[in-house]
Amino acid sequence: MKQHLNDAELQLYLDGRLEEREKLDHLRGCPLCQERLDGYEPLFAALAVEPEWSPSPALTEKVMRKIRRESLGPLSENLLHSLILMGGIIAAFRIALPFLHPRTYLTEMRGLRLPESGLSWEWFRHLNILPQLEEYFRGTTLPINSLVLLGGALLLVLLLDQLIALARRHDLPQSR
Amino acid sequence: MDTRDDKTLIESILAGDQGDFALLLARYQKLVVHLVARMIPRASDREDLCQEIFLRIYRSLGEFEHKSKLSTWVATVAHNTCINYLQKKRLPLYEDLAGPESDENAEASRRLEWVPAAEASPLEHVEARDLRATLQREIDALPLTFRAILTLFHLEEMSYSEIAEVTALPEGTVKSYLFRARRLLRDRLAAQYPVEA
Repeated sequence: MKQHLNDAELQLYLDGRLEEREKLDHLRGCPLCQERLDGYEPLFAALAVEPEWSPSPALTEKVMRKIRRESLGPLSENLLHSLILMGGIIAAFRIALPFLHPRTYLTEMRGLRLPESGLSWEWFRHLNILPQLEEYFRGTTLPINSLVLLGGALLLVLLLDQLIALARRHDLPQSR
Repeated sequence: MDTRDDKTLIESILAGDQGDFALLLARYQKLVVHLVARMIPRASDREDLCQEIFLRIYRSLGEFEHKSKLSTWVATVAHNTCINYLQKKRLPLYEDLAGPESDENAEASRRLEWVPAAEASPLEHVEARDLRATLQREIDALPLTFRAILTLFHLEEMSYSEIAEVTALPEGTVKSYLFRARRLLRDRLAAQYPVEA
């Protein structure tokens, strides 16, 4: 074979993927092709050298710390954490309740008028279902106000948690 | 040293043993670091990006179906995360890839394809360390896809088909880009280290 190897074939040879016997024989006996091959060899050697940049030794710890933090959610997929959080909210609310005096606060607020809109807080009383609930559960010891507020807070937490989980899943690669 | 295979390790992580993810991270850290180092020009962004890639791997581990090697999948996550990052930073991604070679490059290639036997290769005269530094600069100047393909082929020793899977390019295109990238590098290095008469 008299025809010299082309550039791609020389590269294939250096990759160890040139299989045609004729071309391999030519390469062994052709000083010109050998010369051109030599032009590539230092480049191939240098390409196999690792880049100089390396991350800090704390990379693993940083990633693991974030993973541990993430493993607390999403709450809806982790009943235990949901229950712990609910317990925490109930405890916090019960402790804070005597200091807040919610009934006195609401009564004062209902008498106020909103200056811009002209709406009265009386109007909002129609939306307040607490008196009806209190009436319904009269005679029981259930803390209705607390339960309604707690339910609302819990719904809000779950909603936020779902939104965060959704954002995390966004743009993940296709499964293989 | 932990000798469990990737599949066992993944099952353990998915069963709740987070500590095993540190082992997986150690196993694939080099692959991720190599890709990030070659694809992301700003060194100050690389560390955060490596963290982001491993978090993505952790979050989507349950979706890995063992249809390909884990290394290919990890490389895909790393590659896509780097692309997303560069897109957000509005950096050019695919410049000068598909078009024909410029006249200058084509001429340089022709010239170097037929180096007279009497001339020694220019690169033979270059000190290894000097060459490495110059090469790194020249690699940084290559289009992004060329950089990714060179890294996956030469540092990770991936096959053409695996690289095609990672980069979502046809295998023939991967091959062609690889050859062009190396020829481009050789030409540019040859231009910087001309042979003395």
